[in-house]
Amino acid sequence: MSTLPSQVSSGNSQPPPLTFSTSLFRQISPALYLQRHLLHSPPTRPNGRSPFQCRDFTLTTNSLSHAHGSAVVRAGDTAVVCGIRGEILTVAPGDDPSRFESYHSSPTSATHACGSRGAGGASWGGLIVPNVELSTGCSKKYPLGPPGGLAQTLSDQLHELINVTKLVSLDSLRIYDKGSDLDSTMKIKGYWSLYVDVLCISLDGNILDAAWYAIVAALKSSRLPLACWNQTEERIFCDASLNHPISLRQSLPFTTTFALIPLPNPEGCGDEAAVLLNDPDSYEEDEACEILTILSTTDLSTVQGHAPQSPSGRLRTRVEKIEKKGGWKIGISHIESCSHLAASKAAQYIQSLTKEQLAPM
Amino acid sequence: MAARAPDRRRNNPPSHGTTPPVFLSSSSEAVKPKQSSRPPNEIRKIFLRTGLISSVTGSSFLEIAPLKLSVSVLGPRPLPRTSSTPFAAQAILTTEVKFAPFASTVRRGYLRDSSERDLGSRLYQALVGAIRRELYPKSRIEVVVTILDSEDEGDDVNTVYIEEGKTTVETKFWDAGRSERALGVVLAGCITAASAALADAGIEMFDLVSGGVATSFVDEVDPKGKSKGDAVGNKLYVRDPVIAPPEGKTPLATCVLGYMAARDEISELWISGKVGTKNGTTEMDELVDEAIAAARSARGVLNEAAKERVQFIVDKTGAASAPTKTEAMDVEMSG
Repeated sequence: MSTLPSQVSSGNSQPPPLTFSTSLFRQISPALYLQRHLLHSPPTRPNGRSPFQCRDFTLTTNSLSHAHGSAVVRAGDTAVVCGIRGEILTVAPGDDPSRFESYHSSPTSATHACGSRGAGGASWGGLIVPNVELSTGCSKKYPLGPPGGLAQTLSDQLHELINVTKLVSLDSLRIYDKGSDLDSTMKIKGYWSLYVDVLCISLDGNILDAAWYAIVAALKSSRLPLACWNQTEERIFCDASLNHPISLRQSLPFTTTFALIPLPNPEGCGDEAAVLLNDPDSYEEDEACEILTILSTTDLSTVQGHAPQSPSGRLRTRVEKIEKKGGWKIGISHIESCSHLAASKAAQYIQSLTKEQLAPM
Repeated sequence: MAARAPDRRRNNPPSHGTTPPVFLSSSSEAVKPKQSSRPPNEIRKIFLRTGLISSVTGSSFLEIAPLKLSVSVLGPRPLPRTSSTPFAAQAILTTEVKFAPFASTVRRGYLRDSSERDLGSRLYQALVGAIRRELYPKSRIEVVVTILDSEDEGDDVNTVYIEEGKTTVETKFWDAGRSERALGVVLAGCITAASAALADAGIEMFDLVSGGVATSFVDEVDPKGKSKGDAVGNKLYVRDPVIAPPEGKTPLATCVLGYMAARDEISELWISGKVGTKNGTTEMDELVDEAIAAARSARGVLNEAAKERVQFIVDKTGAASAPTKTEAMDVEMSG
């Protein structure tokens, strides 16, 4: 890096000093650039944040006219739009409706788990169909065209998150035959199937957190028209004037993502140093050697009922899922401190969500 | 849908297939479309902001009442170096228009359909002449438009009207130019937003292109009584029309164009509908003039957006050249 032939101009007697402008340095050696910033005291990231500081985010719900529910989430330079569209799945007369209703034991999920997709066949999904679209020109790095690796991974991750957390109570998606006096399972004539589409408008790292938050917020703000079975016509009709919300689980889970950046050893001895960054942007994500995602819930009643300003330590939180990609540097102590940060982030998320819900439309 | 094989790259719906909800309503309470109070020679308010996406060269976001779209410009960047790539003396422009699945009444698929491709090629026509492509040899410029929300037929598509217990599945009579008007407003928005994004990307252009739409309406006549004479006389031109026609009017023709105001040139023209030839070309001329007037109004917004952006950049570079506090805090980066 110390010699760039074009830099040495022949006219001058003295060679120019071998320094680069900050922006050039940022481009030619991103790892070193990031490390120098983080070794500084106090450690500051190139974007001006401290390691544990996350970006401010904004949430807007139900701004789209054709979706049953929608949310726009903007965190720094990452912006996603999530739209929910409900369509009707009519249960065939001989069919057992309960197979649609479980997240795991249904035949479709079972084939999924057995890896029929890995064997070369794609599988049909369940009632909730999340998909992420990244080929919207959201980033220079992401190519246009059919979904690439990142979009497919994200769609699958979000699908798994919906399944694992049992976010939507599936029995609220039932469509009944109101008139008949059969037992309750026979009265089920159809289901609402929810298409959850997440479009990334602008991509600058940590898309998972933004997408998941947008999905939760959009589902929470959704209103489905009231549907029921019409016996004379033998089909399902909706009433445009009546609608109902989708019932979600009691305490909503949120994800928080951290990136681990390795730092060079001071004298080549001792433990390898590293620093964890909360809510990484894409520049930092590129240099990260480990990614840690924590899914945690904060009790809704605590936040709503008591003072919203209560210190985060007193919130009742629960970690539901920890996912760690790559490496071995993140230890138990790291995860513990991160889960506290994740809890306070979840509290922030839920506060802005309730504020958005209470705001007049 | 259900018959097709599942998409391997996406999460798929249940194998039974799903249908969009069908609404039931009695014809008596059919909702009348809202009439706009704006005069016919005024376009709707446009919100246009550029440079919102930091990771691409140029971007813009446009909002006209329900229409919301985001444009990003990628490039100019070099063409891939493969043996099959032909030499290009001028930049290769590609335009893509995609509706979000939730952007219209009928849910759109993930693959681009024919109407989206058509919009893309019309957008290409509107922009290609304005860009100084000879300045960017062996490179490509990609314009990607994502439509998040749009105005279209409304819930009438899936409504069944019921009378006295007997259902009549009634496909509502759509006036002929309905989808053209809907697509026209979308295309005009695409053109305006895309040239704002190209300007934001710093790509050299001869002039900014702005989009304009106008529709001509005549008085509604009874299907039986054919009044021939006054159809020509009482013509109403509406700039930037909404989907619902004005009270008691039927649409005749819609004109969409891309217009370069400083050069007084039309880069793209799309007229659909009935344009009379009785008076020579005066009817068409009037319609085109109305659309140009609409495009001129949109140009004002475009200029403001470009000016705002330039001001922002000037302010930013001006602040950076003076030693500020943030720069003083920067870490030494020599070596």
